[in-house]
Amino acid sequence: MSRIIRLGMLRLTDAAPVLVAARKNIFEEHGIEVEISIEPSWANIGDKLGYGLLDGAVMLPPLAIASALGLRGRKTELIVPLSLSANGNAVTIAKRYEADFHTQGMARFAAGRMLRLAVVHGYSTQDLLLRYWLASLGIDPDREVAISVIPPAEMVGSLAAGAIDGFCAGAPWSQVAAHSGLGFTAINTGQIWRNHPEKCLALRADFAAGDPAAVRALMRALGSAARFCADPACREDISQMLCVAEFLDLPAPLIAQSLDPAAGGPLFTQNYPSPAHAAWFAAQLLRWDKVPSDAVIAAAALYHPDLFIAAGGKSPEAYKEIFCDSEVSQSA
Amino acid sequence: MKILVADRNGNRAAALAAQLQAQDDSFSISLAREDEILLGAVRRTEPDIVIVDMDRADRDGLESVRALNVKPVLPVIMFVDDDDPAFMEEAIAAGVSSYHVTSVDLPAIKPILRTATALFKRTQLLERRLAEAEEIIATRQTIDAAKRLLMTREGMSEPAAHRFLQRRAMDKQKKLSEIAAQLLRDHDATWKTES
Repeated sequence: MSRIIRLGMLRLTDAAPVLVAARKNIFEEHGIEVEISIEPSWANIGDKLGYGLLDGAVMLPPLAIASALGLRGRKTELIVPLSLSANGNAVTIAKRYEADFHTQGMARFAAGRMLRLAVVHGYSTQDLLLRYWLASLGIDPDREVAISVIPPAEMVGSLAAGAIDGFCAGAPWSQVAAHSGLGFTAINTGQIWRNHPEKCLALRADFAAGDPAAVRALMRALGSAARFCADPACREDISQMLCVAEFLDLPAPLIAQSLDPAAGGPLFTQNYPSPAHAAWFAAQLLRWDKVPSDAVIAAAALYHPDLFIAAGGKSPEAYKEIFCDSEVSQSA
Repeated sequence: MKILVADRNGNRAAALAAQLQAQDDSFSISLAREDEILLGAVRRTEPDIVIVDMDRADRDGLESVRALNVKPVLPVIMFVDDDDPAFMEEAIAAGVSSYHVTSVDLPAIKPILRTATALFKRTQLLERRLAEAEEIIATRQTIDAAKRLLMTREGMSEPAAHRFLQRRAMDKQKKLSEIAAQLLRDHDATWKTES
């Protein structure tokens, strides 16, 4: 048996496949031992990957790109062999603006207001999708809104305290804001880019190269856990695993609700690690001047569909990427 | 050099500040206020170096200073020590993480980090010792309570009660404290069903 694989993750609904695989002994069934480390911040995930205290993590693709390019913390050779989830974030705006938002539409509502919006990290899908949406409406995300960074679990509190006017974060935080009457969902990120890739599995390249059998087993175990998570009949079971104090510490019914893809929750069945997706994220980072111009090619090289196929995954048929303002044909 | 110490463990923050000051009295050291977000503390004190405990969830805010400001209004903050991963690993394992401005020399940073690391290790050790001591006390209290129970319920003498527990521990191949705890739980359960 290989040595223990150390995986990091944050307290978010879309970390469910890793937690489920651990709790239901799916890792064991695949002959690997995995130690989960629940981290308080993305910075910790990045640093611990960088210094070899983690072998892999449930990661934001833009953060994986930034880490691999040495744009935050220590430059860390990473690979992405698996996409873990799609969609699952929402833009939440303070309740007091709900009527204005609905009567005026976002573009007119946001004009001249300098909305204070928070995202979970400077290198995050939430930041890029929020910016994409705003820009598509003619709102300059650098000049016409003020974007700040707040940890996901503190979004709702910041909204309550009036420190921000809205946020873009992963489930279950938009559900929590809506449930407590503090905010409303302006748009789910799946409506900005339909079925957009969200969290990925990022592994240290030296770990992956050193134990390819363990990596394949890990991918199969997570694939199996993802299928479990995608089954609506298992949602209650999963929400029981996620609701505990050391993880989300929220009521199980609220979490079950946040697991529903039809209500903007994460989709766990879209696992192909597409280099085109990495390139999209890198191109958006470039658009907002967050990465140097060679980042696009470097980002695409992080993604390893070869490993995905080798572990038994299938490449998707040709399809269309549908954005809130355009459609692009993709041949996978 | 201006140093910001942002540690939610107030005692540790104060101790670190004192040690840094003792190391070099030209250092200007400020502490992040309790409940002050990291980015707010950085804006307020405009430090050259931030020493921050790793468990702060708002570390991401600091990390994004660069990303969220194309022309940074705040100093560009970078992780230290690309050339010395073992040292940083030690620092991270000890629970301390450090950022510094690129313009500050590495040699100037190392002693500070070493101080921070050593301090974090010491507090960790102390905390572990304290936890061990507490466990020993709790164990003794359990054994004493079980003995008292045997003495009142069964009319045993103290040495007899002790021998009783010891014998049972040997028979069942368990720790004395586990046997004592079991005895107390059983008694508790019986007492509850009877009443």
